[in-house]
Amino acid sequence: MGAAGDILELSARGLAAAIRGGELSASEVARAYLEQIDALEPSLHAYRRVTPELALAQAAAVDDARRAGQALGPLAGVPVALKDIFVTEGVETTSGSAILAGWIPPYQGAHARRLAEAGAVLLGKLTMDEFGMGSANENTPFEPVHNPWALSHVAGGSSGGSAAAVAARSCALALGSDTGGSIRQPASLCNLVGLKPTYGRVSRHGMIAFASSLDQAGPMAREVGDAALALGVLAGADPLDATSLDAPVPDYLAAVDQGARGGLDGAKIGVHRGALELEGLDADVRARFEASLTRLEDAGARVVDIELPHFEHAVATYYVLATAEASSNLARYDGVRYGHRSAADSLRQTYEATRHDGFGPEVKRRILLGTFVLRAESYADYYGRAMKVRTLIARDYARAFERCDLIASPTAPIPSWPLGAKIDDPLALYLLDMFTIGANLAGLPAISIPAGFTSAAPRLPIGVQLIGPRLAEPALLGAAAAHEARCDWHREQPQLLEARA
Amino acid sequence: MPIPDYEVVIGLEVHCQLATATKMFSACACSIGGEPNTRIDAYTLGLPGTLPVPNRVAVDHALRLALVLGCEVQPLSRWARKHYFYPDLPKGYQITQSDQPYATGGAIEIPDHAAADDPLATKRIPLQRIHMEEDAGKSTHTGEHSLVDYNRAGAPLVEIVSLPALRSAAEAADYMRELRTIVRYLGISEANMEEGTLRCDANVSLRAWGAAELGTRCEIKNLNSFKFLEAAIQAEVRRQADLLDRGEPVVQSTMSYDPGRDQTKVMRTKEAAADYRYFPEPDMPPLRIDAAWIAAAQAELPRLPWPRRRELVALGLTAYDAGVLTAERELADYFDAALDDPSRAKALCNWITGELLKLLNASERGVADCPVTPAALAELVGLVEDGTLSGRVAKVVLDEVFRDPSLSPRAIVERDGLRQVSDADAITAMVREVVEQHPEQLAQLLAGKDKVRGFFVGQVMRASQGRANPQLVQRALATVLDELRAARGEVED
Amino acid sequence: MPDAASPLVRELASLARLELSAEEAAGFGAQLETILGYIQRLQSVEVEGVPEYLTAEQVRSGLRDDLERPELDAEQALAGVPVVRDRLVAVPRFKD
Repeated sequence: MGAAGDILELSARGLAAAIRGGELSASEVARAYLEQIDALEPSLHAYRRVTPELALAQAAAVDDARRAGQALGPLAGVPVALKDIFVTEGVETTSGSAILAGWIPPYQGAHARRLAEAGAVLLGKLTMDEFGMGSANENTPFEPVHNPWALSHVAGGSSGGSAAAVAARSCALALGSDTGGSIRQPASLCNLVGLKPTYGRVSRHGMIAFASSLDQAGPMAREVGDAALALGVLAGADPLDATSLDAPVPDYLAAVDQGARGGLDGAKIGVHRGALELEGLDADVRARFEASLTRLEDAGARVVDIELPHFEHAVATYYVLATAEASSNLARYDGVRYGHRSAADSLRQTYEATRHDGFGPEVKRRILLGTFVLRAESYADYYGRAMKVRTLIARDYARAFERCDLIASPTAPIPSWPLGAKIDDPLALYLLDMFTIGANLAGLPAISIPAGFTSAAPRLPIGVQLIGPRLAEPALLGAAAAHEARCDWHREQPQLLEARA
Repeated sequence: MPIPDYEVVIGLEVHCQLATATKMFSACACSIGGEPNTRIDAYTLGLPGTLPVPNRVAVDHALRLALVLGCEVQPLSRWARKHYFYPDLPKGYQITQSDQPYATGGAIEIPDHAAADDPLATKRIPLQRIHMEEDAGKSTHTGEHSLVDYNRAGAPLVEIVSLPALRSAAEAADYMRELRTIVRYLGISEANMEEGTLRCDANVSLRAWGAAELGTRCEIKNLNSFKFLEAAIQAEVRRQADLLDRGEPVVQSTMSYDPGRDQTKVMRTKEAAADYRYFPEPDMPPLRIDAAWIAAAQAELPRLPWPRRRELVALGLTAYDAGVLTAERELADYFDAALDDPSRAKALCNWITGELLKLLNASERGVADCPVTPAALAELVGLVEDGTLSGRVAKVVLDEVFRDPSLSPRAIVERDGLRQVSDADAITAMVREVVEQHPEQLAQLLAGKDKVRGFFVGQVMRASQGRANPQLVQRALATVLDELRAARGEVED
Repeated sequence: MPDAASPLVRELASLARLELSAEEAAGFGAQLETILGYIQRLQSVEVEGVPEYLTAEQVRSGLRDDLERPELDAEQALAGVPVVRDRLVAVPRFKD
């Protein structure tokens, strides 16, 4: 081996095996990826910051360890990149906001630490919608990211940089965060596997909060096996996160291999047909979804109808709760202790100018909305009521899982759209989250997997989502692997790369 | 301070800092004072990505307080965020408990001064609730800057909220003292008002006697000493009474107290009050305190001051002495440990509150560091009570044990031959000897100068190195004088 | 439905310490009105007797032992503070 193109086409799992077996050195792999980043970034803008020195040093350490006969971690030598929402000690972390521009964290977050301990090589930090608020990566004071499948189109959001980088082979694996679909939606728009684990499965320590009760970190990968490999490294209790779960971490790769060999016998896949009749579902998306159901049936699954009676209230519930928590979580950005401070005469003016200058329009919009719903006079009608509807939504899923093992739906109602096309209509963008939000509200694991492409040009990826009961990541990964084993979409290269080749 | 036209109604909100090694929600060292911003960590500064993880010991401390005060402990309570922007509040919100605190109800007993015939009568001041929260940092103001120290930020607090059941500034101070004593008994807080580990806000209102409705209340903030607590409440009562006398309404306000002018002044009115936008803290699971935890905490609770005061009075002590002995748990425990014979309770009390506390104060030591063990003091008191030691010599022996705790009182007595001489013949012999040695004074005495009697007792005590039983000396002196008078009368006849 | 016009936006911005230009306030006012209009649908959901969702409800207590865990030294922590005076974090002077 050795040709850069070959290295870049290996899965993360394949790379780890090749490096462990000595067929590839971690250093040559890191160099191949750094060259790819250099070549593509001018048109992609997936990276907020590239860390070549760090990457090469970590890669050299992996190579040294291998030569010394030391045991290598499960991700040894695999080049990864982190959404800029993840705190990285000594490496600027902004959460996509001007208010944190230049902030160098003095501590290491759980994700960067676990990845480093597993031997991963950090290529850099990936762009995102500011504080995770957005569906297109256009809510940013920096350059918006472009979709490698159609550069004029959005890569999705808020983990758009992560999706673009993985799809463009600018990293082997990336971490995203998902509050209402921010891993799954960009994965579906970029032909990737995106996994949002059960709430609490992965620590939130060192993941800059957007909406604490909904946020969850997860992997974005080209193949199901890569997502499983990463989840195995990330999952587990963390004493620094009181909401992290201490359930044992199962062997996710075994579940993938079992699913890939065809083991979906008898699994019941639930479909809430009513959701497919809602306004705004793209015809190609619907067709690809039905085709995926057929594929799952081919793998031995049985499709059953289920009802989610409060499905159409999920978006409204989400935008009350997520903005309430966001308005609270973002109160700390006041220019006093870190980050941007606008000069002003009085303390009050310092606060107001700092927050005016530091936050972008979507963040301000959500802070205002969140402040509104938490005010004493609107609390009961808005926040309190939404928390009750959230209970009903969680109960809907619990009841549905009495009838089925997994729930399938499209990931996003539409494929990618041209940059700038929807930026002025926040509500229309919020409604695009309708399929993904339920899993966040109910704390359930969910995965988006490649399901084909649009029929007309530009050829845009489409994803399908599977949702499981709490801690059912093995079942999700198994079903995703069974689906993946029956198609080749995950092996396709975006136009951007074909053009380069 | 009677304001006869109005009934004074006071409720207190007391913040008490829990004594823990680390802060409420992060594993950051937590101690008072020191260089600014030396006890801070990523969470304390509110750095992005940090999360609160509650301190089990802080919760356990809070639980004990709730149990001794008879609160109802909630099996499930919630953390909540309270929002306001202030430089000493690192996250823009304080984590506290709002609509679901961990403890509700309960009461604190204070002395009932109205019951003049019973010095141990108490009045129950019912509590509304107790909740846990994290403290803010501290701001100082200088030149063009305000400067913030976050050492205190995140320190664990309990807030004890009383119902408006206090009726005077004196009662408010009594309530604070009882609460301070209780938390110190529990060992859960230093509870020092000067150091800020015990702080108080007072809600004060007035109403016409007999009125059912409460008057409009004002809250006096940051009362940081017992003196200011009483003075501030009195000043606020005066202010409100003046308003009402003039027929003007009291406006619900937050007040501060100016000790220089002995006046309260309005900081802000209710209209300007913030909307704190409370909501359940999503970064932590609800707090669960199960029956097993409650039982374990219950099993380790100390006995409280009021029951102990009653026990001490039953032993024959005065209410005053009982109050002194129970002011600190260490002292009450010391007394209990030293009390080997209930009939000696009064004597033991006198020794503890007299000589022992004098020695401790002189050496600037607390009861916990007392070199004299309770057993040694009990032995000493026993020696006095059974007549082996005179009180005067016993003081000397106590001094010596205090200096060298390896010695026991009995050993010192034996070593130095300090047993009290109660042999009447021996004492009479000493008296005769002294009388013979001082003919001049004898003549004065016999001439009727009775004052000189003391001189002879003193001489005998000196001759016996303090060991002579003073009562026997008096008796022997009287006998010898009678003999001499009789003899002289015979001569003159 | 609440009036989401400018006075409300001003009040919210003040609570949230956000300076807004007149143009921003007007724009946000209109958008909030649309979004709140959509959220109104929740008022039609029957929630009688339904408890509020318990976030992060789980088996683990989530409590920690009272042990100091040195994480970063104070100098590192202070390194990112915009203005420091004698180890203290400085802001424009304000009154208590």
